[in-house]
Amino acid sequence: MDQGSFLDAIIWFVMLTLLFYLNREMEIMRLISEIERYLRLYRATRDKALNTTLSEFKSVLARHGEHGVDIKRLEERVKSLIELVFIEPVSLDPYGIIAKLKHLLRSSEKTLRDEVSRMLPPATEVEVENLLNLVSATQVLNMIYKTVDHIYRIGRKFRSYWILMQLSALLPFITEEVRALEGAIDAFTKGLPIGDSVGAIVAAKLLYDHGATEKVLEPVENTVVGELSLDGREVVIVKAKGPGGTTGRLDDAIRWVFDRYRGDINAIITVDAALKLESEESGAISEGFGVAMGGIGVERFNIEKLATEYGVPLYAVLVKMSEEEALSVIDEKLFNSAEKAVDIVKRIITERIAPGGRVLVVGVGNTIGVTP
Amino acid sequence: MSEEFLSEMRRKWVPIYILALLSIVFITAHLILNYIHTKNSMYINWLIPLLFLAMYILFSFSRLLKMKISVYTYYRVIRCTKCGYEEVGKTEGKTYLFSREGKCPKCSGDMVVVKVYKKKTLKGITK
Repeated sequence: MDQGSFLDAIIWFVMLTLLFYLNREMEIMRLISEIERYLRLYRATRDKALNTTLSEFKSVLARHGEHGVDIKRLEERVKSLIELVFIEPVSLDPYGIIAKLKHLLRSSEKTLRDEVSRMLPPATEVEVENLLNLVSATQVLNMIYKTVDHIYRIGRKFRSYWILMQLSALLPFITEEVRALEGAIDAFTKGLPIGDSVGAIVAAKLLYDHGATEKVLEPVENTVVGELSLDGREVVIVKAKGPGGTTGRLDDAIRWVFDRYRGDINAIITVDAALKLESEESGAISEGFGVAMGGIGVERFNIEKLATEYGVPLYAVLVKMSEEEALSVIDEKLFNSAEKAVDIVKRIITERIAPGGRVLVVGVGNTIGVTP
Repeated sequence: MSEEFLSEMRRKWVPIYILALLSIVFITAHLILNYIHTKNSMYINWLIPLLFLAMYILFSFSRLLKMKISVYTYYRVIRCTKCGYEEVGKTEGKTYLFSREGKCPKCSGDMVVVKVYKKKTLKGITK
């Protein structure tokens, strides 16, 4: 039987190598086209968010009369706000990092708020808060688009299969976040409560059900404190001040409450939205110990420190939801869960706090669309 | 927003799918007629990959047609603080929970927003 010449063998090896090479090139092309499709989606979402933010600024201006505001300059300023960056403090020496972070956060928040107020002098406090939320969501969408685009360009430039493959693997998670932020843009434009508002809803409902809504104080900027009586226990409620989209300064308000009652608090109950796992049901409620609070961790750290200082137990009530649900307008199922969470908070108070005791209930989360 | 963008992108594929399916129908008819006239099995052999391709296109097309995008409607429930009369209505926004919203049509008490939520409906992507 003819087994072929040496040349045939060489040709066969060359063909085989070529096939492997072509296969890899085709896979790179497939990955590039897939990532480009997602990038188009992210860019469209970012552009839409930017346009919505711009038109919301203009509509606030139109509602109050233009007061000599230069529209073109306003547009330019909004676009530059979208590009703002937050530089985290150096953490090589972690001592004092929380105070540094808090200072940076507070000063950047204040500067941005003042900036928006200067751009739109007639805008109300609620409108300014909602506009700041819109700007912040658009900033994140812009950053996501630019980061994904950067990695894609590097991967494409070096024809790196592994960079493109890793990026492609992350795209479903990034898309989830983009969808969540998209929902946030819609919610902040409409000024309606979002999934993350469940904590604020629970606190506000407790105040409303006990007729304490009108008597709240604002001892700390953007944060309200109310009091009510429940089955012989004194309940102090702390939440961000609504209906503007803010998360308040809960740690400072809790410090104020502790100073006011000289640390005579029997427990702190925090209520917040928590991210669910795929297998968990939206609206499921979990109880736990500790401070239920997201974010960078500055406020949580301060509350934990205070509770430890005074030896106060920390209880948590969590309402589970996806990231998309947390940032978009609340649905009926989650709202019903917030109402159930109110009953759970009441049960915790009556079961764990003796009559005559005092408990602090903290409604954590963005209070957009929720008064007081 | 992104769902609308995605559906817009996918909607562009509908005429391509239809064109591809029509072409397959014509080629299949052509192969069958040729086989009947010539009795050459080569025509039938070509039909097999063609049918696989048709199945794949039909499967993708049916997935595209089944795709739905979410449309949201926003509701608010207002309740009278005196008589408890409730009203459910749609809202376009700027409806704040636990804020007063008008007077009760039954007892003229204050109506307060006690619930705000959204409802999702699904809409097909093809017009």
